[in-house]
Amino acid sequence: MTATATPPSTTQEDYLETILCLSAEHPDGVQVNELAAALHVKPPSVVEMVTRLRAMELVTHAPRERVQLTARGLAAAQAVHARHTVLRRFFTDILRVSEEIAETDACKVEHTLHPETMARLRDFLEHAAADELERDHTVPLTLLHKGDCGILRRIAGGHGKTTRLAAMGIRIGCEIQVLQNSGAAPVMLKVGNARMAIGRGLATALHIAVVAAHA
Amino acid sequence: MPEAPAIRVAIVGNPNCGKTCLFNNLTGAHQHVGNWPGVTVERKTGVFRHGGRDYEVVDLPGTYSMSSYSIEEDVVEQCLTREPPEVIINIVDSSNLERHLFLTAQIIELGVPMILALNMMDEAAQHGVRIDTSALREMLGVPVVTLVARRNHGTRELLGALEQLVRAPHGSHVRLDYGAEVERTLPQIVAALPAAVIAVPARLRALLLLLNRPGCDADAQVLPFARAHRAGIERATRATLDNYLAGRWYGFANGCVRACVTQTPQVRFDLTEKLDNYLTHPVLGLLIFGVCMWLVFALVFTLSAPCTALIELALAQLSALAGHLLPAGVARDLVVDGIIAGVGGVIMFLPNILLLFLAIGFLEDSGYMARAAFVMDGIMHRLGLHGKSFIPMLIGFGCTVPAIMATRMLDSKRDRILTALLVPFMSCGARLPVYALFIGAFFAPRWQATVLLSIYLLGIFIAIIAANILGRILYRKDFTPLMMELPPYRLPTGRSVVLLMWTRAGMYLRKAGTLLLCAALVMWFLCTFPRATPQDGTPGTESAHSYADRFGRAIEPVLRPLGFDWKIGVGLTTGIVAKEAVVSTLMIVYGITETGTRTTTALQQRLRNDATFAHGPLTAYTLMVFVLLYVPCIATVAVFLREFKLGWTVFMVGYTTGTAWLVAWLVRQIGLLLGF
Repeated sequence: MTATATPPSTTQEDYLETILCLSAEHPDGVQVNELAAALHVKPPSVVEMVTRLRAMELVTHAPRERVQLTARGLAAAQAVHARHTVLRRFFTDILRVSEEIAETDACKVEHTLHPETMARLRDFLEHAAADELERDHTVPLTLLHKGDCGILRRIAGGHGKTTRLAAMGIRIGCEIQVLQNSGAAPVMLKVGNARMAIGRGLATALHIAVVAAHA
Repeated sequence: MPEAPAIRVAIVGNPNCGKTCLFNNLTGAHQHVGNWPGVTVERKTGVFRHGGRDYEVVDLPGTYSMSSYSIEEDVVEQCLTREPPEVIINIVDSSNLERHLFLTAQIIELGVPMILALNMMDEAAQHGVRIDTSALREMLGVPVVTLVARRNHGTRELLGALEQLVRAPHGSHVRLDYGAEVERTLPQIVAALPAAVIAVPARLRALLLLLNRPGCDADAQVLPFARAHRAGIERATRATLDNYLAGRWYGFANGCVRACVTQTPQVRFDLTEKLDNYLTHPVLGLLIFGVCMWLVFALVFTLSAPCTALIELALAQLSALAGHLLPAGVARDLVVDGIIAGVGGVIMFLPNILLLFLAIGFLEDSGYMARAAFVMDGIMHRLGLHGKSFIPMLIGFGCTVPAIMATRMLDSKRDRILTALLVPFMSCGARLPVYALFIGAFFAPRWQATVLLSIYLLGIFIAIIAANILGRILYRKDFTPLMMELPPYRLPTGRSVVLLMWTRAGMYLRKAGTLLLCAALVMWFLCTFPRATPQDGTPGTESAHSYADRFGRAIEPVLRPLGFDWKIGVGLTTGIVAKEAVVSTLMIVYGITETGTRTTTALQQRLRNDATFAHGPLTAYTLMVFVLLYVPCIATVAVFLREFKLGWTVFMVGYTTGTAWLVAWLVRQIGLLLGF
């Protein structure tokens, strides 16, 4: 069969992906009109493309019937969608691009990247995800109570502060004990054998993984 | 054989690790030390002789790293990179070795022969920290000595190591590895460097260029080249270069500590922690601070009274003696009315000054200074400053000149100027004699301390208002967050507190003997000449024709609304030279117009009888308010001019005097309304 030999084109992948996404709401198939609206194209164009996809055995479709993915179509669509998700996350989480731009850019790039690049990107994000998990266990220093101990995991914001803090002994991975944290006063910490006062604004930027909470 | 030139030794280390203390131990100097980070803000030089060689020691301000953030740290970087010393003594706090070795790692790059001095070994032992000095010596490749600088222990060993190092100078064998990317780049930048104009290793110059901080102007031309490399490294390491290098330096420090330090956990009574529970409590802390201030003023008055009386007695005797010995005439008038009355009137308040500095010495040495800054942070924040700015203000209670210098420890320029503009409102020690004179004359003993405290608090209050207004006007683009180390509480050593008092007493007496003496002589001249012709009127009104009188009457219209007459006007004018001169001038002005013994008590008596002081306490209070706020002394203006620009200085002089007039006027109006 020739259909298996030729991989779906960029447009075809977009169609498959869209059908997959719309299928989430319509488990029994997607109508041509819905597909046309989602892809911002005219229904006749959809019909033309769907016919071609059917020839490739990626979808099933009869006139005036709903479009459904075949098993192979589903696999292809899921692959595209997975790439799209990875890319979008890379754009938003790592590059800090807005959701909107990330979405459109992911749509463009998802078809062209080499599988190896994709694999590397996925690995990279997996690490980032581990970080993110950890991130969920950290709290700003200002939320800690007197007597709490924790590890400094992240300093949000400018790197100038990071270097300055590092020189004073407050660096990523160091253990911090909160000596004083109340009202509008600065937070008083113990780092090593030294006591430091940190302004509240800056203290909010210090993200701590709590090790031992004081009773 | 010609004498070998002095060997230049620099003392480098983190803030508050005992650099100045060591400096004093080495040179026998009496530089001011305190238990708070930032006592030393400029480099100080001293000399000593050991083993037949002369040494010139440079005491540098404390610095956390070689990347400067404030002027005081800039002083260090400039000194070390532009004119490297022959030997560096890197002094570190043994109880917190890892952080201190961070700086050591950077100093090693200088390639200068260096001694590592482990200070505060006693405190480290208390913390259960044991340091294997020989292992550390091995790792760092430099001599390591242990010290307790506060008690002058270990100085001899340090000198021995210094002598040995000078005989066979060697840098550290340690060559820090900054990772493949940086190490690949450094030789390329080194190759591009212009011919050496500074005696800094090429590797360090390249490193500084990478960090965008050229070691000298010639190196700056390589900056664009270095910048391109920096971008490459940052891409490869996925971190900013500063952070990346900081990580490397820390790695080194951490490695040393792991290898050489054993920390046994100590369950012990931590006095600092216990005290901090109360002293830095958001509400209680402020309260305690207030009570401490009140106690200081109560102490200043009650304890000084007997001493003051004694000095007064001695001066009266001296005055009488001079009256007997010298023939009547201009010479006797000069000595009795001018010198003894003027200068004596100031010396009278020496006990007050001593007690004030005793209190300040305790404040500084105990470690409470940084706590006061901590407690005041909330209030200072509302003024657009942070707690650290409060330290210069506290020092301002002693003397405005070092207080303005102390603004150097602040990180941002805006904070510096704003703080320096507020410092003059912190009532300095020189103003105390004026208060003492008037409070003694017009207020009952049980109110004296409270009245004095109220003057000081008014100064703070005015500073708050001024900060609010100035803070709005002054640009505020760079708000630097508060980062301040809080030293442990230490019992002040008698030596350092007495030293501070002694230095201050010396300064006060010197001032009395020079500046105030001159002012007194000039005042006497201006008050006495031109002499009235005998037929001109009743005796005792000579001074009504004098230059001082004419001057005083000329400016009287300005001061009339405040209830001041020409005599006070003259006093306030001389007060610009030095605040104590207000007292000496009043002694002379009143002394000449009337007869009688020239002592403070007599002057106070005369002030009470003067028609100007019909509303006695109110006028006295108004005057104190004016003295509190108006233009600070010449020395302050000079140091202000040196630290800031002419424009700011002119502004400072104008706005303080304007504020003084306005507030004094308000005080008088409110006082009159309330029926005082």
